[in-house]
Amino acid sequence: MEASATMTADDRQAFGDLLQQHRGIVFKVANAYARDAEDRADLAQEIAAQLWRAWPGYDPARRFSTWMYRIALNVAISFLRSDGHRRRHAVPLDEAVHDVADDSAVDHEAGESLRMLHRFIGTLDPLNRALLLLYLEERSTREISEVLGISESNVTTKLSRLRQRIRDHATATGHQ
Amino acid sequence: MELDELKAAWQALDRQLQQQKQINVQLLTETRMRKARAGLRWLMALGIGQVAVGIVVTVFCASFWSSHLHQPALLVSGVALHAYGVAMIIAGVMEILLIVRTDYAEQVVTIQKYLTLLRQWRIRSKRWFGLAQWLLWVPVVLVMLEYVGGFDLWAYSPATVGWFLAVGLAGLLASLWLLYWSPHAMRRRVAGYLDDSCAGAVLKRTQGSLDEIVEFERE
Repeated sequence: MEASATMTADDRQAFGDLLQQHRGIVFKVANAYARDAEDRADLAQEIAAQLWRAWPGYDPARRFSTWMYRIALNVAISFLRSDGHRRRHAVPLDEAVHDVADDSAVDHEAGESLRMLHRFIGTLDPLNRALLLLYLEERSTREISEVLGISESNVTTKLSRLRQRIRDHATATGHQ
Repeated sequence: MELDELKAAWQALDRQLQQQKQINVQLLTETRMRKARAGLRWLMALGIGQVAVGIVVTVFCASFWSSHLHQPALLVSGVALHAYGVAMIIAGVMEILLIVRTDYAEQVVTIQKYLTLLRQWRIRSKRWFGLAQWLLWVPVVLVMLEYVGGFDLWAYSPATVGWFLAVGLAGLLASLWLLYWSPHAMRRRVAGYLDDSCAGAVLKRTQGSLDEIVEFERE
């Protein structure tokens, strides 16, 4: 189980460097799937621990980010589906939106869009949430299909449905 | 508002996250990783413990019932407990496989479906293990009395054993009523009391998750 425990110092260094380089993925997934700061920290920690655990099986011939997305999204979806967090997720998303968007690094307009985006993300089921996140990260249709395990045409169809849903959501919330 | 416009907002979040160095340090701290791994080790230890207990029960019961072939109550009791021991081993092995074989690097839909099916299996098995104990305490008493004191309770007082079974059956029926047939509000309280682990509602939600994954796979 704990192949990661027997890794050499070089392996650990390589893992640490790659994680540091792609840490944004961990935080963005955590932000999309967890609401309050405590949940986000827990989820980010869990993702990092699972990455560390899976690291000995990583094939360097494949893209690190694709591997990382698979693990991060799998952990996040399981986290969201677990009963304790499901109960907590029954509360509105606004708290998280303020946590994320109330920062001087984000101007007012972008902050408003971000709030709207988070409210929209909050309405999606875990798998569509993963799809949207990968799209926002500008991943190719092929990579999205590889990460999620659905066909490329299915990805395209689902993205067009998401576009329609976001238009409807924007209309309903007055963000046209 | 279009989906593409939201990418700008998402990039703003990216910039913001770059500034959260404090959390980065916390995330990469080895002690936090160690804590998470310790949780998995504990689960693994529980699974191994369950298999070990199951093996002891199975071996003990096999030798017990094979030496009481002509005493029907003791034979049936031994066989019932033997079956329970085997079920414990199977459930324990499944738990261990769940921990060892869960490869989060698999495709999202594949691994989520696998995890949901296993979760469903765990909820079901836990519930049936719990319910079976309402009746299994009777063979435990019969076997222990015979093993420790050489006393065959069934031969001495079958009515007492009958009462034991009646009490167990009543408890079993009451549990089934509370879990499946009682009014909704009461069922929710019971589910809360049992930490949702034995409640039908959890199973229903798990099935809902599975349906959601299957639906997502479809174009």
